[in-house]
Amino acid sequence: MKDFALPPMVKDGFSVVASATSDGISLKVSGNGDMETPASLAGYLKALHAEALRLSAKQVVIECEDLYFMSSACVKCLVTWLDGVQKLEDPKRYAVRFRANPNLHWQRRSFEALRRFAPGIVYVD
Amino acid sequence: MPNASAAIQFDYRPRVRLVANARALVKELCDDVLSDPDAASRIALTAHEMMENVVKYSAGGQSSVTVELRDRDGHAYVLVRTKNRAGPDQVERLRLVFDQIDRAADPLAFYDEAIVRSLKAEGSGLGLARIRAEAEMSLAMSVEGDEVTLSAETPVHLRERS
Repeated sequence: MKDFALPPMVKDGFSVVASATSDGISLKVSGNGDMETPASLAGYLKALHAEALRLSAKQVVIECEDLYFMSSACVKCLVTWLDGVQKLEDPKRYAVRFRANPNLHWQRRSFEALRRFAPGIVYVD
Repeated sequence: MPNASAAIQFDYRPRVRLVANARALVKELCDDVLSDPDAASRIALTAHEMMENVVKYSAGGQSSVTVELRDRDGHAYVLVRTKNRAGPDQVERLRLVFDQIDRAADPLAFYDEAIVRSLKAEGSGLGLARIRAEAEMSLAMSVEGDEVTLSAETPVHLRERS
């Protein structure tokens, strides 16, 4: 496995911590994402995308156990990232798997919308 | 049916920090009053998106958000309402979004289209589309002078009290 180079993002009650896995990258996303989060999140997702390509990741798993809320401004950031993944040629394309917390009811609805946007790339567990 | 009449209202200068705190309070109150935790989550999402809208687009001054439990013909509803001042451009933008919403019969299809539109345009109405599709709320808008009122409503079931 190549060296992993993606530092955590911590910003006002919202954090993303990444680690390498055997087939890609795991992200632990926590806290509340509001309209100010995209200023940091957009750049982080660009770096994540570059790292996923560098590692030839098969999938990025997003652990959402402690993700209490994400506003539409953050949803838009994810859409932009997923659009980039969707536009990759097939061998470079990687899956994005959201591990939802069933007690946080908004998650499944929001992640299902992302799955409809990028079918075959987004999976919701 | 338990008595369906209660309201909380925040009057505030639009600030981002208040939004998450207000959402958490709305969620907690709804969890206490409603029988369905999913409904509480939908209403909290609505309050958050509507308050962020106010923070983004308010023309200044005092704003308010009200979350009201209403009884109509023996059925309970929750109404989330924001009021804020807005400039003519913002009023026009909102009218355009509401025209599109009114024409779109399928909230989910409209939301999916708003997601695609959001890739190209700021102010694409993604938050309102999300309220309608994910939170399953009906939406309305009214304007008086430079004051804009947005309302979102959903039927709910109240928790039975012993």
